[in-house]
Amino acid sequence: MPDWSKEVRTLLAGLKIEPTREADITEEISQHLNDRYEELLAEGATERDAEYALKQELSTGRLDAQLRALLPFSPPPLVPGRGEDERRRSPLTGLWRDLRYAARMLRLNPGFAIVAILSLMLGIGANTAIFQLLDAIRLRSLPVETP
Amino acid sequence: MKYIAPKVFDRELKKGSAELLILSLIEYRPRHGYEISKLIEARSGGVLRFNVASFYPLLYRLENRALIEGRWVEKSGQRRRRYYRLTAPGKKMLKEQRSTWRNFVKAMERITGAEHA
Repeated sequence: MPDWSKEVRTLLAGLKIEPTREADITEEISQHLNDRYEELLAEGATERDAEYALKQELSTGRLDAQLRALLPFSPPPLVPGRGEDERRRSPLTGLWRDLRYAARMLRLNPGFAIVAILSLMLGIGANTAIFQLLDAIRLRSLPVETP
Repeated sequence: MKYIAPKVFDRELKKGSAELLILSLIEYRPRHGYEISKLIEARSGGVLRFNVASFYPLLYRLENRALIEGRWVEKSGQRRRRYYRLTAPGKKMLKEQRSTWRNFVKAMERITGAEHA
C-alpha cells in the first residue's frame, strides 16, 4: 500500500500550519485515502490504478490551496537570544523578566528556596560580623591623637 | 444571460448542498470523515460524491465556524478516528438550512413541473 501520510505531508509542507494540527490533518486524510484505496481494490481495481486515481484526486482537488485559505499560519519558532523587538524595548525589560522568572522558580522549588535564602542570610551575616570586628580592631583609628 | 455549463451547474449545486448534507448526517450520532463521505455517496445513489481534497476542507470550515466539533476517538482493536458531532449552533444552522432547502425545492418543483400539471 502506498504511504499516504507521506503524500499528504508533502502537500501540506508549504502551508506552515501549526505542527499538531498538521499531524492531525495528515493522519485523518491519509486514513481516508487508505480506506478508499482498499475499497477500490475490493471493487476490482489494480493497485496501480487505485493509487493513480487517488493521487489524481489529491492533486486536482487543490487541497493545499483550500487549506491555506482556512487554517492559520503557525508563528515562526522562537530563537534563543534577543530578538529585534526586545532590543528596541527598555534595558530594564530583561531585568524585570529575569526577576519574575527567579521568583517563579523559587516558588516552584520551596526546599531549594529556603536553603538558598538561609545560605545567603548566614553568609551576609557572617561577613558583616567579621567586617565589623576587623573595622573595630584594625581599620578604625583610635580616638586619640598619638596612640 | 450568462450561460452555465452543466458541469459547473452540477458543481455549484453540490457546493451549495454540501454543508446541509454533512450537518444532516451527524445530526443523531457522531461520524468520522470517511463514513460521512461514504454515506453521502451511498444515500444519493452515487450521484453525489466529494473527493478527498474538497471534502476535508469543507469539514474543517464547518469546524472553524463551530457548527461541528471533531474529536479523536480510540476504540479497542481499531485505529483512532476523528469523529465529528453537531454543536448547538450547528443544530440551529441545520434547522435553518433544511427549511430553506425544502422551500427552494418546493418552489423549483412548482416552476419546473407546472407545464405538466
